[in-house]
Amino acid sequence: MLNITRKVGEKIIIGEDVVLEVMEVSGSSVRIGIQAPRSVPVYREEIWEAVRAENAAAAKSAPSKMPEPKAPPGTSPRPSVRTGVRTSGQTTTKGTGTTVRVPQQQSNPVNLKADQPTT
Amino acid sequence: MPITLNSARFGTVEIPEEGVIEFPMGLIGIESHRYALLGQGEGSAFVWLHSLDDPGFALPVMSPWPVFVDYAVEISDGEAERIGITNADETSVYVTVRASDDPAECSVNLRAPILISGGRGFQVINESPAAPVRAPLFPESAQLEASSPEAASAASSAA
Repeated sequence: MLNITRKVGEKIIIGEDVVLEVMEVSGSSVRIGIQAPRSVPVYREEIWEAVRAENAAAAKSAPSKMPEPKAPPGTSPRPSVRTGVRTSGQTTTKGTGTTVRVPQQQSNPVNLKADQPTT
Repeated sequence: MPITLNSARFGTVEIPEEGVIEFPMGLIGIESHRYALLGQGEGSAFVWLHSLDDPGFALPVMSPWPVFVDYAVEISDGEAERIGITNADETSVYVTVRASDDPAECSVNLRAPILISGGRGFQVINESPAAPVRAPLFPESAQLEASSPEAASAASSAA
């Protein structure tokens, strides 16, 4: 691994278009600013790793023997929530960004035949 | 041109052209870039996000809302722009399912939902604070299995 010592305000350039800047050092925490092209996703490593592991585990599992999930007794998707979500050109400002609430319309899956094996 | 998928799990399945979903960035940690959703009919909550590049890779997914009635996906403007979501109303949302014979072990990943819009899909990180990576799908079972009151309350607060 390449090790580079940097001071607050100094930067590292990776390739042509990724720039890391040390913004602040406080105790054992370092605040890092990242400039990257929009097409480059940036993740915190522990979240990326948790999701990667979860994707792999899910792909090894099969819900064929599971009961059908349902909402907890006495609850149902609340119409107010659904409506709010569905009409969600609505956005609410949150910090520096905007929160988009995404609706629950679903795309149509390709239907498997009834006799198709499921495991 | 329809695509013939020779699925390790389902055998031969014809995928119509409009059933192909491009994942420009793949799924997190997974290379494949082309998928199709395969359903088992109206009766099941589960559908399969099946790779068209790897006949052995299929991920069980479901819509979160029939179970997690208050679930919300929150992404930043930058993220919405990155994945090209211009109209939230036309976006489908799925969460991955970790299935198990033991209902207490079944969970869905509310932290990293899969957003599909206009034939393109992205797995995003949900910024909502109430979005664990392993949300119990059958919380009653998960609580029954918990050995102590403390563990039971931890399980319910995680849900």
